[in-house]
Amino acid sequence: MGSKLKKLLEILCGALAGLALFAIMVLTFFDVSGRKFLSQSITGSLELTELLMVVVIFAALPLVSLKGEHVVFDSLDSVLPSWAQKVQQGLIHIICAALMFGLAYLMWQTGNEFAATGETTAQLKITKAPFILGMGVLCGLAGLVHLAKAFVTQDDKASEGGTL
Amino acid sequence: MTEALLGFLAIFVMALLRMPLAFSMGLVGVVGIGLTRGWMPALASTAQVVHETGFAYTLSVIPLFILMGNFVARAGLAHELFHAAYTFIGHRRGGLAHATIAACAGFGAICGSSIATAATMGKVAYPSMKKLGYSDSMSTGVIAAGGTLGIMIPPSTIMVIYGIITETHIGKLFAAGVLPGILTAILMMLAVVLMTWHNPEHAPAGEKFSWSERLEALRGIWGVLVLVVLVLGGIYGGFFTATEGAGMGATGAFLFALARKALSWKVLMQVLIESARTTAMLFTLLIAATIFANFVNYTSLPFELKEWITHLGLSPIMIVGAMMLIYVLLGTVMEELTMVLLTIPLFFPIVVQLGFDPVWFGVLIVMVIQIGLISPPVGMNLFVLNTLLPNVGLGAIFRGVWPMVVVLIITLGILLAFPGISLWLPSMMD
Repeated sequence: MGSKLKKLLEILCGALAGLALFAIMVLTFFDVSGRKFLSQSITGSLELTELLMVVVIFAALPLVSLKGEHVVFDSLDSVLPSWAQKVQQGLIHIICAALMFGLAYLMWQTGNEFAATGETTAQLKITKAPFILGMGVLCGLAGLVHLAKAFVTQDDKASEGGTL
Repeated sequence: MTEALLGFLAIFVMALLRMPLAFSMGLVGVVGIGLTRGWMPALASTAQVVHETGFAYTLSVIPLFILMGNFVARAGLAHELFHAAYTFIGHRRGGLAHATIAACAGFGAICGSSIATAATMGKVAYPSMKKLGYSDSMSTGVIAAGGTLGIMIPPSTIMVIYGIITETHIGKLFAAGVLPGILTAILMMLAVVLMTWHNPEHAPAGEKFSWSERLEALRGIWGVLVLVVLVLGGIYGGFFTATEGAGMGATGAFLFALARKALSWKVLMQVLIESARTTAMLFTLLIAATIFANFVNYTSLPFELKEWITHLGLSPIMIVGAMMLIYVLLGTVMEELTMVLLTIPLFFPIVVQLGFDPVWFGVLIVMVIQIGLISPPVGMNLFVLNTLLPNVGLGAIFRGVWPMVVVLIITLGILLAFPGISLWLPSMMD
């Protein structure tokens, strides 16, 4: 059951984030080459990129939590006995879950405010509220991942700044 | 001032308890603003930061450069680069080590990550060195150090991040990294010469190639050249913004990988999702760092620190030198990205007030990160190689990399003393 849910999460969030990123790439390519070589740009490409960026970041967020890829210090790991490490990691995951739920609630509220005013993007008139509500939902999902990890023993390999 | 210091303390305590840094920075930022300015403003500004960082066209430069690097790593261009460098200098003593450094520099021109460069070159260069009888410490030391060229030679993810948080022109930062990157590569090669002088048996010479073989090998790297000219040339020439260049580069790298049949559907999705995850991780840090910086800037700490430092009577260059010393020391034990995100709100205003060019300071920041990435006991490039080459112990890698740490510290000194090396190329962009 647990592993099936995990697989589903990986496929759904992965497809969403990955395809959105690919779309940004293709969109930028056609927009820039159109503008530079044919002096014809894609209407609203900037806005579309912005909306897609939100999808990339927040759809991948639960995956980052799932894979334990947030930057941590692990200098004390060798000092603590393994049972203490398990307790410590469980507690940390619960705190992370709480923070993610808090952020999810905050973004959900913000999304509702946007929905009330009906704010749209400037050119294409796409309603922004669903995207902000989506941020909230995906943050909540990341929170659930942390909560699940608090009660399942796992050995995350610490990743220290995979981007540098 | 006390509030801000307590904030820093809280972050360090939470970090030691293994709380992810993004979470501890964000939490301290929100609570800090909540306690000093009220909870409503704290929550409102948090929502605003998340919203604005999410919906930001210019920030798409980050995933696009990450994507470009990941495509390039899969396309196998590293093999050709290494081979080309090897045909030219492989027959000299330590030739493979020189070739590795040159190939790292070339790879750095299409990849913006030190870790990716080290990992890719590790797979390519280590087996050849092993076969020729290089000692493990020599080969891994060179690969780890060469990998750091990935972030100095543009494109560079960390320069993009620095550019975003300090509002410095990213194109200029890229241009500023070129000469320091080449200088670093040359000094690393000099170090190899010195090291092989003492222990020639650690790095025997390889075979010699004819000129026709060399030209043939050069033809193999045209793909790299096309990407470099398109992306960096385009940005430097003012034809593209950094974001546009990143988009063109990612597409170009994608087409190369496709043409070389390096992409199945599965691999393509893997690359995309991997890049998206790295992006999400980075943006969590960026958002948290922005919230934290907002809090620090509400307090009197930046001002008082500035006052205190200007009253010390040190010359401006000594102040920057002291900052660099702090960075090099912190970098031995701290994760470098966090180190920079935490200290920039304090150091950057001082540097600007002293009248220094933010572009130059950016280059220095990249240099201290390079040093941190390879300085034991906590250096990410070393760990990456250790994971990649399980037969080589960390001890051997540590022994091999020390001379290179010294080389990078010397380079830092040179860049500090001669800002012109960094600032000459960007100065021609105006």
